[in-house]
Amino acid sequence: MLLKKEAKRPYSIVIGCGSAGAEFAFLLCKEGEEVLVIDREKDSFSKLPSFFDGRTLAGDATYPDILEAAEIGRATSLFLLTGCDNCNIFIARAAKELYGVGRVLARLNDPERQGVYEAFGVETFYPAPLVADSLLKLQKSVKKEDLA
Amino acid sequence: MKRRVLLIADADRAYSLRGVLTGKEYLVTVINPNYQDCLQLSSDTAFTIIHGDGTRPAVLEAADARNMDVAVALTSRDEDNLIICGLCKKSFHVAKTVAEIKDPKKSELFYKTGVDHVVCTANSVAGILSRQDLLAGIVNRVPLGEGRVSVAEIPITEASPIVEKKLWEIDLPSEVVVGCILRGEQNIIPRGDTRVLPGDILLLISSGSREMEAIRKLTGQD
Repeated sequence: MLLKKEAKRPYSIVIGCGSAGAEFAFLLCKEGEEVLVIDREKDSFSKLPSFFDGRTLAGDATYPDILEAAEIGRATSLFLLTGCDNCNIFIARAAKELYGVGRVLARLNDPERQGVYEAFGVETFYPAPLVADSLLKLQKSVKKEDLA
Repeated sequence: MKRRVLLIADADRAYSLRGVLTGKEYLVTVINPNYQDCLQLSSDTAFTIIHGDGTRPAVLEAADARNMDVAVALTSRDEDNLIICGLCKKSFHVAKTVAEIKDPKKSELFYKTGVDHVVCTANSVAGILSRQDLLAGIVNRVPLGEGRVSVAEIPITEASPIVEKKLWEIDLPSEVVVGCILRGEQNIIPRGDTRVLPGDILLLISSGSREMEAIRKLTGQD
Protein backbone atom coordinates (compact mmCIF):
# COMPACT_ATOMS: atom_id res chain seq x y z
CA MET A 1 0.00 0.00 0.00
CA LEU A 2 2.75 2.40 0.99
CA LEU A 3 4.75 1.46 -2.12
CA LYS A 4 1.87 2.37 -4.38
CA LYS A 5 1.57 5.77 -2.74
CA GLU A 6 5.31 6.32 -3.18
CA ALA A 7 5.13 5.58 -6.91
CA LYS A 8 2.47 8.21 -7.47
CA ARG A 9 4.42 10.97 -5.73
CA PRO A 10 4.84 13.89 -8.15
CA TYR A 11 8.37 14.76 -9.21
CA SER A 12 9.08 18.46 -9.75
CA ILE A 13 12.27 19.99 -11.08
CA VAL A 14 13.02 23.61 -10.24
CA ILE A 15 15.69 25.28 -12.35
CA GLY A 16 17.29 28.42 -10.95
CA CYS A 17 18.01 28.58 -7.23
CA GLY A 18 17.59 32.30 -6.60
CA SER A 19 15.55 33.48 -3.62
CA ALA A 20 12.26 32.65 -5.36
CA GLY A 21 13.46 29.27 -6.66
CA ALA A 22 14.80 28.24 -3.27
CA GLU A 23 11.64 29.27 -1.45
CA PHE A 24 9.39 27.57 -3.98
CA ALA A 25 11.40 24.33 -3.93
CA PHE A 26 11.13 24.27 -0.16
CA LEU A 27 7.34 24.77 -0.27
CA LEU A 28 6.94 22.01 -2.89
CA CYS A 29 8.90 19.67 -0.61
CA LYS A 30 6.63 20.51 2.29
CA GLU A 31 3.67 19.60 0.06
CA GLY A 32 5.15 16.12 -0.15
CA GLU A 33 6.52 16.30 -3.70
CA GLU A 34 9.82 14.86 -4.77
CA VAL A 35 11.92 17.93 -5.64
CA LEU A 36 15.20 18.51 -7.46
CA VAL A 37 16.75 21.97 -7.74
CA ILE A 38 19.24 22.72 -10.51
CA ASP A 39 21.51 25.76 -10.62
CA ARG A 40 24.69 26.62 -12.51
CA GLU A 41 26.32 27.86 -9.29
CA LYS A 42 26.77 25.40 -6.46
CA ASP A 43 26.87 28.29 -3.98
CA SER A 44 23.26 29.17 -4.82
CA PHE A 45 22.05 26.15 -2.89
CA SER A 46 23.00 27.94 0.34
CA LYS A 47 19.71 29.82 -0.11
CA LEU A 48 17.82 26.59 0.60
CA PRO A 49 16.84 26.05 4.24
CA SER A 50 19.12 23.60 6.07
CA PHE A 51 16.20 21.21 6.57
CA PHE A 52 15.27 21.15 2.86
CA ASP A 53 14.99 17.44 2.07
CA GLY A 54 14.88 17.59 -1.74
CA ARG A 55 17.94 17.05 -3.94
CA THR A 56 20.23 19.54 -5.69
CA LEU A 57 22.23 19.34 -8.91
CA ALA A 58 24.88 21.86 -9.97
CA GLY A 59 25.09 22.37 -13.72
CA ASP A 60 23.89 24.26 -16.78
CA ALA A 61 20.43 22.91 -17.57
CA THR A 62 20.59 24.08 -21.20
CA TYR A 63 22.79 21.00 -21.73
CA PRO A 64 20.86 17.77 -22.36
CA ASP A 65 23.42 15.87 -20.25
CA ILE A 66 22.36 17.80 -17.17
CA LEU A 67 18.65 17.35 -17.91
CA GLU A 68 19.22 13.62 -18.31
CA ALA A 69 21.18 13.46 -15.06
CA ALA A 70 18.08 15.05 -13.48
CA GLU A 71 15.98 12.18 -14.91
CA ILE A 72 13.78 14.78 -16.58
CA GLY A 73 11.93 12.01 -18.42
CA ARG A 74 10.02 11.09 -15.29
CA ALA A 75 9.39 14.67 -14.12
CA THR A 76 5.72 15.59 -13.74
CA SER A 77 6.39 19.34 -13.61
CA LEU A 78 9.21 21.66 -14.55
CA PHE A 79 9.57 25.17 -13.16
CA LEU A 80 11.96 27.58 -14.85
CA LEU A 81 13.10 30.36 -12.54
CA THR A 82 16.43 31.39 -14.04
CA GLY A 83 17.06 35.09 -14.57
CA CYS A 84 17.66 34.50 -18.28
CA ASP A 85 14.52 34.43 -20.42
CA ASN A 86 16.29 32.87 -23.39
CA CYS A 87 17.60 30.06 -21.15
CA ASN A 88 14.10 29.51 -19.77
CA ILE A 89 12.65 29.23 -23.26
CA PHE A 90 15.43 26.94 -24.48
CA ILE A 91 15.06 24.54 -21.53
CA ALA A 92 11.26 24.60 -21.80
CA ARG A 93 11.44 23.59 -25.48
CA ALA A 94 13.94 20.85 -24.72
CA ALA A 95 11.76 19.50 -21.89
CA LYS A 96 8.70 19.36 -24.11
CA GLU A 97 10.23 18.28 -27.43
CA LEU A 98 12.89 15.85 -26.25
CA TYR A 99 11.59 14.53 -22.96
CA GLY A 100 7.81 14.97 -23.13
CA VAL A 101 7.39 16.81 -19.83
CA GLY A 102 3.68 17.63 -19.50
CA ARG A 103 3.70 20.71 -17.33
CA VAL A 104 6.28 23.44 -17.89
CA LEU A 105 5.98 26.89 -16.33
CA ALA A 106 8.54 29.67 -16.66
CA ARG A 107 9.04 32.93 -14.82
CA LEU A 108 8.96 35.87 -17.18
CA ASN A 109 11.81 38.23 -16.26
CA ASP A 110 11.53 40.89 -18.95
CA PRO A 111 7.89 41.58 -19.91
CA GLU A 112 9.02 42.63 -23.39
CA ARG A 113 9.84 38.97 -24.01
CA GLN A 114 6.31 37.73 -23.35
CA GLY A 115 5.77 37.49 -27.10
CA VAL A 116 8.86 35.30 -27.51
CA TYR A 117 7.60 32.85 -24.90
CA GLU A 118 4.29 32.79 -26.74
CA ALA A 119 5.97 32.17 -30.10
CA PHE A 120 7.63 29.12 -28.56
CA GLY A 121 4.46 27.99 -26.77
CA VAL A 122 5.85 28.34 -23.25
CA GLU A 123 3.49 29.23 -20.41
CA THR A 124 4.74 32.06 -18.20
CA PHE A 125 4.27 33.51 -14.79
CA TYR A 126 5.07 37.21 -14.17
CA PRO A 127 5.70 38.05 -10.52
CA ALA A 128 6.09 41.85 -10.66
CA PRO A 129 2.34 42.65 -10.30
CA LEU A 130 2.17 40.38 -7.22
CA VAL A 131 5.10 42.20 -5.62
CA ALA A 132 3.47 45.54 -6.40
CA ASP A 133 0.18 44.31 -4.98
CA SER A 134 1.82 43.20 -1.73
CA LEU A 135 3.57 46.53 -1.41
CA LEU A 136 0.34 48.41 -2.00
CA LYS A 137 -1.41 46.38 0.71
CA LEU A 138 1.42 47.20 3.10
CA GLN A 139 1.15 50.85 2.24
CA LYS A 140 -2.63 50.81 2.75
CA SER A 141 -2.24 49.09 6.13
CA VAL A 142 -0.34 52.09 7.43
CA LYS A 143 -2.65 54.64 8.97
CA LYS A 144 -2.98 57.81 6.95
CA GLU A 145 -2.12 59.91 10.01
CA ASP A 146 1.24 58.14 10.34
CA LEU A 147 2.18 59.10 6.80
CA ALA A 148 1.36 62.75 7.22
CA MET B 1 18.36 38.84 -57.73
CA LYS B 2 20.69 39.14 -54.79
CA ARG B 3 20.02 36.84 -51.87
CA ARG B 4 19.20 38.61 -48.65
CA VAL B 5 21.12 37.23 -45.69
CA LEU B 6 20.57 38.10 -42.05
CA LEU B 7 23.64 37.40 -39.94
CA ILE B 8 23.48 37.47 -36.16
CA ALA B 9 27.08 37.26 -35.06
CA ASP B 10 29.91 38.89 -33.15
CA ALA B 11 32.36 41.10 -35.02
CA ASP B 12 34.97 38.38 -35.65
CA ARG B 13 32.41 36.08 -37.22
CA ALA B 14 30.99 38.84 -39.36
CA TYR B 15 34.49 39.75 -40.60
CA SER B 16 35.35 36.14 -41.36
CA LEU B 17 32.28 35.85 -43.59
CA ARG B 18 33.06 39.07 -45.45
CA GLY B 19 34.85 37.23 -48.23
CA VAL B 20 32.17 34.57 -48.65
CA LEU B 21 29.17 36.90 -48.57
CA THR B 22 30.38 39.23 -51.29
CA GLY B 23 28.36 42.15 -52.57
CA LYS B 24 27.86 40.55 -55.97
CA GLU B 25 25.51 37.84 -54.82
CA TYR B 26 24.36 38.76 -51.34
CA LEU B 27 22.78 41.63 -49.49
CA VAL B 28 23.89 41.16 -45.91
CA THR B 29 22.45 42.63 -42.71
CA VAL B 30 24.35 42.01 -39.48
CA ILE B 31 22.81 42.23 -36.01
CA ASN B 32 25.34 42.80 -33.24
CA PRO B 33 24.81 43.81 -29.59
CA ASN B 34 28.10 45.71 -29.16
CA TYR B 35 27.94 49.35 -30.24
CA GLN B 36 31.70 49.77 -30.86
CA ASP B 37 31.75 46.59 -32.96
CA CYS B 38 28.82 47.92 -34.97
CA LEU B 39 30.64 51.19 -35.73
CA GLN B 40 33.74 49.27 -36.79
CA LEU B 41 31.76 46.83 -38.96
CA SER B 42 29.83 49.57 -40.70
CA SER B 43 33.00 51.40 -41.68
CA ASP B 44 34.93 48.26 -42.74
CA THR B 45 32.27 46.29 -44.60
CA ALA B 46 29.47 46.77 -47.11
CA PHE B 47 27.08 45.07 -44.68
CA THR B 48 24.04 46.84 -43.25
CA ILE B 49 24.55 46.92 -39.49
CA ILE B 50 21.81 46.83 -36.86
CA HIS B 51 22.83 47.43 -33.27
CA GLY B 52 20.81 45.28 -30.87
CA ASP B 53 19.95 41.92 -29.37
CA GLY B 54 18.88 39.52 -32.13
CA THR B 55 16.74 37.49 -29.74
CA ARG B 56 14.35 40.46 -29.50
CA PRO B 57 11.53 40.48 -32.06
CA ALA B 58 11.69 44.30 -32.32
CA VAL B 59 15.35 44.11 -33.37
CA LEU B 60 14.64 41.41 -35.95
CA GLU B 61 11.81 43.58 -37.22
CA ALA B 62 14.18 46.57 -37.52
CA ALA B 63 16.58 44.37 -39.49
CA ASP B 64 13.75 43.57 -41.90
CA ALA B 65 13.85 39.86 -41.05
CA ARG B 66 10.54 39.42 -42.83
CA ASN B 67 12.19 39.94 -46.22
CA MET B 68 15.25 37.78 -45.68
CA ASP B 69 16.01 34.63 -47.65
CA VAL B 70 18.34 33.18 -45.05
CA ALA B 71 19.00 33.83 -41.36
CA VAL B 72 22.30 32.69 -39.86
CA ALA B 73 22.68 32.69 -36.06
CA LEU B 74 26.31 32.44 -34.96
CA THR B 75 26.27 33.90 -31.46
CA SER B 76 28.33 32.20 -28.76
CA ARG B 77 25.19 31.10 -26.88
CA ASP B 78 23.30 28.05 -28.10
CA GLU B 79 20.04 29.16 -26.49
CA ASP B 80 20.20 32.54 -28.23
CA ASN B 81 20.81 30.87 -31.59
CA LEU B 82 17.77 28.64 -31.09
CA ILE B 83 15.56 31.59 -30.22
CA ILE B 84 16.83 33.69 -33.14
CA CYS B 85 16.20 30.91 -35.65
CA GLY B 86 12.88 29.97 -34.06
CA LEU B 87 11.63 33.56 -34.23
CA CYS B 88 12.89 34.00 -37.80
CA LYS B 89 10.98 30.88 -38.81
CA LYS B 90 7.79 31.25 -36.79
CA SER B 91 7.30 35.01 -36.62
CA PHE B 92 9.12 36.29 -39.70
CA HIS B 93 8.72 33.31 -42.07
CA VAL B 94 12.36 33.24 -43.20
CA ALA B 95 12.69 30.34 -45.65
CA LYS B 96 16.06 29.05 -44.46
CA THR B 97 17.68 29.24 -41.03
CA VAL B 98 21.16 28.19 -39.98
CA ALA B 99 22.43 27.93 -36.40
CA GLU B 100 25.75 27.16 -34.84
CA ILE B 101 25.77 25.05 -31.68
CA LYS B 102 28.48 24.01 -29.26
CA ASP B 103 26.94 20.87 -27.81
CA PRO B 104 26.13 18.28 -30.52
CA LYS B 105 23.47 16.76 -28.26
CA LYS B 106 21.35 19.86 -28.81
CA SER B 107 21.06 19.41 -32.56
CA GLU B 108 17.87 17.30 -32.31
CA LEU B 109 16.11 20.13 -30.49
CA PHE B 110 17.20 22.61 -33.16
CA TYR B 111 15.90 20.46 -35.98
CA LYS B 112 12.63 19.86 -34.10
CA THR B 113 12.23 23.62 -33.70
CA GLY B 114 12.41 23.95 -37.47
CA VAL B 115 16.01 25.11 -37.89
CA ASP B 116 17.13 23.96 -41.34
CA HIS B 117 20.86 23.57 -40.82
CA VAL B 118 22.84 23.04 -37.63
CA VAL B 119 26.58 23.60 -37.68
CA CYS B 120 28.56 21.98 -34.88
CA THR B 121 32.34 22.14 -34.64
CA ALA B 122 32.51 19.23 -32.20
CA ASN B 123 30.66 17.00 -34.67
CA SER B 124 32.88 18.02 -37.58
CA VAL B 125 36.06 17.34 -35.61
CA ALA B 126 34.76 13.98 -34.42
CA GLY B 127 33.85 13.06 -38.00
CA ILE B 128 37.27 14.01 -39.33
CA LEU B 129 39.08 12.12 -36.58
CA SER B 130 37.11 8.91 -36.97
CA ARG B 131 37.55 9.01 -40.74
CA GLN B 132 41.27 9.74 -40.57
CA ASP B 133 42.02 6.65 -38.50
CA LEU B 134 40.09 4.43 -40.85
CA LEU B 135 40.95 6.05 -44.12
CA ALA B 136 44.67 5.76 -43.37
CA GLY B 137 44.57 2.38 -45.12
CA ILE B 138 42.46 3.54 -48.05
CA VAL B 139 44.07 4.66 -51.28
CA ASN B 140 41.40 7.04 -52.42
CA ARG B 141 37.98 8.37 -51.60
CA VAL B 142 35.91 10.71 -53.75
CA PRO B 143 32.82 12.49 -52.43
CA LEU B 144 30.13 13.13 -55.04
CA GLY B 145 26.78 14.95 -55.11
CA GLU B 146 27.69 17.56 -52.47
CA GLY B 147 29.19 14.83 -50.33
CA ARG B 148 26.01 12.77 -50.12
CA VAL B 149 27.54 9.91 -52.08
CA SER B 150 31.12 8.74 -52.09
CA VAL B 151 33.27 6.22 -53.90
CA ALA B 152 36.16 4.70 -51.94
CA GLU B 153 38.93 2.30 -52.95
CA ILE B 154 39.27 -0.40 -50.30
CA PRO B 155 42.43 -2.56 -50.58
CA ILE B 156 41.85 -6.13 -49.38
CA THR B 157 44.72 -7.85 -47.57
CA GLU B 158 45.20 -11.39 -46.22
CA ALA B 159 44.11 -10.03 -42.85
CA SER B 160 40.76 -8.79 -44.08
CA PRO B 161 37.82 -10.70 -42.55
CA ILE B 162 36.09 -11.00 -45.94
CA VAL B 163 38.92 -12.68 -47.85
CA GLU B 164 37.72 -15.75 -49.82
CA LYS B 165 34.08 -14.84 -49.14
CA LYS B 166 31.47 -14.42 -51.84
CA LEU B 167 29.90 -10.96 -51.97
CA TRP B 168 26.47 -12.22 -50.93
CA GLU B 169 28.02 -13.70 -47.80
CA ILE B 170 29.17 -10.26 -46.63
CA ASP B 171 26.62 -8.47 -44.49
CA LEU B 172 26.84 -4.86 -45.70
CA PRO B 173 24.49 -1.98 -44.85
CA SER B 174 21.83 -1.38 -47.50
CA GLU B 175 23.13 2.13 -48.40
CA VAL B 176 26.41 0.62 -49.57
CA VAL B 177 27.32 -1.40 -52.63
CA VAL B 178 30.54 -2.88 -54.05
CA GLY B 179 30.42 -1.49 -57.59
CA CYS B 180 33.64 -2.87 -59.01
CA ILE B 181 36.59 -5.07 -58.09
CA LEU B 182 40.05 -4.16 -59.41
CA ARG B 183 42.09 -7.36 -59.63
CA GLY B 184 45.47 -6.91 -61.26
CA GLU B 185 44.79 -5.82 -64.83
CA GLN B 186 41.16 -6.93 -64.61
CA ASN B 187 38.13 -4.77 -63.73
CA ILE B 188 35.34 -7.00 -62.52
CA ILE B 189 31.75 -5.83 -62.20
CA PRO B 190 30.89 -8.19 -59.36
CA ARG B 191 27.87 -10.39 -58.87
CA GLY B 192 26.67 -11.94 -55.65
CA ASP B 193 28.77 -15.04 -56.22
CA THR B 194 32.01 -13.18 -56.99
CA ARG B 195 34.70 -14.20 -54.50
CA VAL B 196 36.93 -11.55 -52.86
CA LEU B 197 40.65 -12.36 -53.06
CA PRO B 198 43.65 -10.86 -51.26
CA GLY B 199 45.14 -8.04 -53.34
CA ASP B 200 41.73 -7.01 -54.67
CA ILE B 201 40.72 -3.38 -54.54
CA LEU B 202 37.00 -2.92 -53.96
CA LEU B 203 35.28 0.21 -55.23
CA LEU B 204 32.73 0.93 -52.55
CA ILE B 205 29.84 3.25 -53.42
CA SER B 206 28.06 4.65 -50.38
CA SER B 207 25.15 6.95 -49.80
CA GLY B 208 24.16 7.97 -46.31
CA SER B 209 26.04 7.68 -43.09
CA ARG B 210 26.96 3.98 -42.93
CA GLU B 211 30.08 4.09 -45.08
CA MET B 212 32.48 3.85 -42.14
CA GLU B 213 30.60 0.87 -40.76
CA ALA B 214 30.96 -0.87 -44.13
CA ILE B 215 34.67 -0.04 -44.37
CA ARG B 216 35.23 -1.48 -40.92
CA LYS B 217 33.52 -4.71 -41.97
CA LEU B 218 35.57 -4.99 -45.15
CA THR B 219 38.97 -4.17 -43.68
CA GLY B 220 38.54 -5.53 -40.17
CA GLN B 221 39.92 -2.30 -38.71
CA ASP B 222 38.28 -0.68 -35.71
